[in-house]
Amino acid sequence: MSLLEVTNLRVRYDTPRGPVWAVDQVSFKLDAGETVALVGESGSGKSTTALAILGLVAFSGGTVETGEIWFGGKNLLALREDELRAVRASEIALVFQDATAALNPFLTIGLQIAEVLEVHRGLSRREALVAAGKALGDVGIAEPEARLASFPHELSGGQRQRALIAMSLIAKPKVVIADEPTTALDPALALLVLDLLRREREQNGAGVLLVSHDLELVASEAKRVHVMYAGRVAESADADELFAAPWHPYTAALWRARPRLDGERPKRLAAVAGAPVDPAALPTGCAFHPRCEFVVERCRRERPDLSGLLRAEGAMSLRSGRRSACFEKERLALPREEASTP
Amino acid sequence: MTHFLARRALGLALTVWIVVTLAFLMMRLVPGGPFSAERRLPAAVAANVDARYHLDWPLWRQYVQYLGPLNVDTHGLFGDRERVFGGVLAGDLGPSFRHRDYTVNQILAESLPVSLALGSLALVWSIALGTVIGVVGAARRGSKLDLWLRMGSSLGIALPSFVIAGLLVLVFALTLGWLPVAGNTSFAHFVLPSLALGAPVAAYIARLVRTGLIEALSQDYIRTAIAKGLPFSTVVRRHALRGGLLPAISYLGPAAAGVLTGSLVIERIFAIPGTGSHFVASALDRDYTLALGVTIVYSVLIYSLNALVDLAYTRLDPRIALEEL
Ligand SMILES: Nc1ncnc2c1ncn2[C@@H]1O[C@H](COP(=O)(O)OP(=O)(O)OP(=O)(O)O)[C@@H](O)[C@H]1O
Ligand code: SF4
Ligand SMILES: [Mg+2]
Repeated sequence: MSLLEVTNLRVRYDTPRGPVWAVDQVSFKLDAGETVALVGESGSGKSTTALAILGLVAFSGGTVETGEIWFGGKNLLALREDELRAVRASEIALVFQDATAALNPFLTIGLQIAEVLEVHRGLSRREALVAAGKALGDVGIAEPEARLASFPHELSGGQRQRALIAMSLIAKPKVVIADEPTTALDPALALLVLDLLRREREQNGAGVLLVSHDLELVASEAKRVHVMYAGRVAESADADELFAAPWHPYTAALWRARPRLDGERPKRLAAVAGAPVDPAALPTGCAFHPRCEFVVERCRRERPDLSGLLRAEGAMSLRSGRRSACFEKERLALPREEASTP
Repeated sequence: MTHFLARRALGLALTVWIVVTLAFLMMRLVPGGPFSAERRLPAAVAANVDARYHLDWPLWRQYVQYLGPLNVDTHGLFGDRERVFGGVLAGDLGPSFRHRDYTVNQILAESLPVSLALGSLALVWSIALGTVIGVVGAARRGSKLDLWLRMGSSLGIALPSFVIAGLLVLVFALTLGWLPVAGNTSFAHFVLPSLALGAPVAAYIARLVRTGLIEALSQDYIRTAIAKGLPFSTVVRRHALRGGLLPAISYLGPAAAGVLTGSLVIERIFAIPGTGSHFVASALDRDYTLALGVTIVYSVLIYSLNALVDLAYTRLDPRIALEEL
């Protein structure tokens, strides 16, 4: 059994323009010691998926309509609020993207880290502060004890980022969800964050769910990748397979449009031709069809399911669990064959 | 800290000086004088009275004499000691023009403690109740309870204080007979006026705390706190309350000044001899010295309370340094 298993997740936001299914039929697994990535352009539902795991979508006004999230033999979506609280940060931790916004400006760093241990491990404030000091030292903050009494605005951006990670990971969670952990950071800081996450995975066997729109990052960090488009999974595959030969036109376009290594790291996902999808007014059939170069008549009427290849060559995909939600995936997966048939 | 206090003391002196000067000039610009409302005095008597209070002097000279301690009295410091008053800087606010046998200092010494006592009582309960209502409303946002509390606050803000006072008297004094109708001889006498005086403040604080807290609860760091597995009560108390209270605290400076200095309406209705009624009456009567005296007390109070609020701000929000205020 997997460490974390999300099945058939569906999340709705009620907006002034009507209901938006930010996440729909999303399923994936995460094992201990591995990194799984959710990628996709802005608005594809990555963050909503991440928040749903800890029962946090209600905070931003969303509703989980269907789905199961299995962790430690329990369906997190069926837990009471107090049971869920015991899981948060203690078993499953979220590393937020923007340390400046994620840390409370009114409270000291020490208190904000210590309270995690107080509530989950029953430590006294004094004991928890000692542990917090150690944790700050572990993430490379100089004079950690002195920093405990600092307020977030008294730290540098890098120190804040380190402190946020120390806070998120102090209870040694089994699952770490990192939502765009490097997006707002300069390259050196991004490396540091990745390093800390990797260490958590390798030394403590945590499973890492990496939410990102940085394909290079995902390609280098993740074992398995789920590409999301308009709230659904467009393609699921092991990272090496996925980037070697995408089975979905959207993945292919993303990969082609990615900024080159020598260029700057993108702030946003590189543009794929065509207008981004409007989640409040999804196209009929395949949501990607207005932008798809492989589009056929059927795409406008029917919605493709996430599945492996039908042909003999698809047997391989059954084993690796590779899937794509595209009617024309054979044309991408087996281009040679297509070339040979008239 | 000393820096802050020194700067504020300087600011206070400057502010009061400007306020006094403006008030002094403005009062002389409106027609009429302290004695023009009375039966027409014979010209000779009027001149006498004016001379007694130096109203026959040129304005600048009156002003200098009023501010003190420089003595420009004809009688002089070493004269027959008939100087009318020593001047504001010497702590002497002069004689009242209308209350003939009283000095402004005496009037304030009698009325200010009454207003301060009534106002403090009103402040204490209205801050406590307003905060609780605001917190409950924000925590139970959108519930029936929240709706009722919001309606209550809107009423408290919208209803004029004489209506609230009237209702209170009608119910608790006249119908139930639990509390006296008017007067100021016991604590029970202060209950109804303090309720009427504090009601709009409580309502305003409730509203400010509710919106402030809701705003604070929508911050990213609150989501972090929830993701840490803290109980909601801790999230509110520890993570949201400080930020949420800031708007109410900035309102509290002027509000406290207003309540502490007494309200004409409340004091009239409940026959309480406070400062509030003197303020309006003195302006209408052209009782120059009394009006100026009350103005000075008010501006000192408002300025000090605002300084206090700034101080509270720096205690609550670590990002605001005392040195920068
Ligand atoms: N609080 C909200 N209220 C209404 N709609 C929302 C809310 N949060 C997200 N959405 C909508 O849900 C969809 C998915 O949003 P989500 O934040 O999960 O996307 P994302 O993939 O994380 O995007 P990004 O890369 O911009 O972070 C978007 O279309 C967004 O407009
Ligand atoms: S289903 Fe059709 S429109 Fe959708 S990605 Fe495949 S080819 Fe393109
Ligand atoms: Mg996001």
